[in-house]
Amino acid sequence: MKTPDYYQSLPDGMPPQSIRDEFEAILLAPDDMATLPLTEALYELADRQWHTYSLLDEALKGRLEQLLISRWRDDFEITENLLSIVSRLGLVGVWEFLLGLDKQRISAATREAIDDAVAEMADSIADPYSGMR
Amino acid sequence: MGSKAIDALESQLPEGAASKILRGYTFIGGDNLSDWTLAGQLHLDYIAQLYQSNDPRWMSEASKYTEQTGFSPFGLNPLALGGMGKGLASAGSVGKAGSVEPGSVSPGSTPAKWDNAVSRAEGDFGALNQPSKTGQTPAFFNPQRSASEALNNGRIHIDDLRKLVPPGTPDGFKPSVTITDGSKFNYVIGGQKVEVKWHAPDSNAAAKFPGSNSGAGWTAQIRIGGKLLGQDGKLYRKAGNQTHIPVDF
Repeated sequence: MKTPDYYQSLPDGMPPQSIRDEFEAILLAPDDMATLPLTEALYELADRQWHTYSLLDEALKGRLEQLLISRWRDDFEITENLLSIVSRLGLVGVWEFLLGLDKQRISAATREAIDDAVAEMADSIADPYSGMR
Repeated sequence: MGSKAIDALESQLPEGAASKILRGYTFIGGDNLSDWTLAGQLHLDYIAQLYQSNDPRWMSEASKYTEQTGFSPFGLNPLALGGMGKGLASAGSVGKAGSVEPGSVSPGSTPAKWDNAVSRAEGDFGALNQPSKTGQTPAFFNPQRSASEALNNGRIHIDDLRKLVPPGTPDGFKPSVTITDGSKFNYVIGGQKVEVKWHAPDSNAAAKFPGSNSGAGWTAQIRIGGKLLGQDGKLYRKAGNQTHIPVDF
């Protein structure tokens, strides 16, 4: 089982296919990692993907969205990681899931993280490279 | 113009470096005129008044003062002076100027009360305030503030970048075809993950976003928690041109 440190130590510049292989490895055995390390690993991979300056294909995005939504829980760090992954990959489905949470039933910290993200990037969530144009 | 409260406080302090330093720093109109503002002088006056009236709030106010101004002629954090109150200090307990070295303890003696992790945590990334991998958290260290203060018109100098990295932190940068050279440092402070990295022009960025910071030259990225520092000193979740800060050498 790979650890978050492994993903953190990956080169910042990686070929898209190598990143895709890493995503696939996680998708094949997502239960190998607890939720927080899982989101940390995906954050690192999402950052490598962003630095390819190309978009992830829609099919892989969809599978990652399913995984992230299924593993979300009301935890500040996990939510923060999800928001960062969403911003790097343009995961509109996860974004809409987070915005659709009942704000009366989630923790104040999680609610604030989501509200903060809405203020920053609500109008550009589908385009990870809006800040480059 | 001076402060009667400070004058009174000074008269009560033991003779020696402490009072002379205090006087040197507080004499408005003297050599340090350019270092002072009215607000700072009034704050110091307020602290002296609290001390005079034996109000323990002087310590927290003094701590705020040193944090906001970087002024700490004694090398102390008042919050670390546990148990110290008006009338407790003596020439013997203060020591001679230049004789106090944090961490230096004679065999058989115990460290002075002020000589602790908090008192050493004075100033950002100074010699006395290095973030530690052992979990010891400097009291005043604020990664965002330190990093944003290192910015100069949206750029950062390599020397200032290096100051953001605790000594001994391993360089985890790995070169690739698109990013051939750089440095990357990860550490945790106060439970918060910090990543400071800088790298040569990214050929991917140059090809797909010509003229972008990352494609045009060396850039730094400073990640604090899950957010990136922007050229404007603010933190952003979303990566972009302004989170790639041009580096000057």
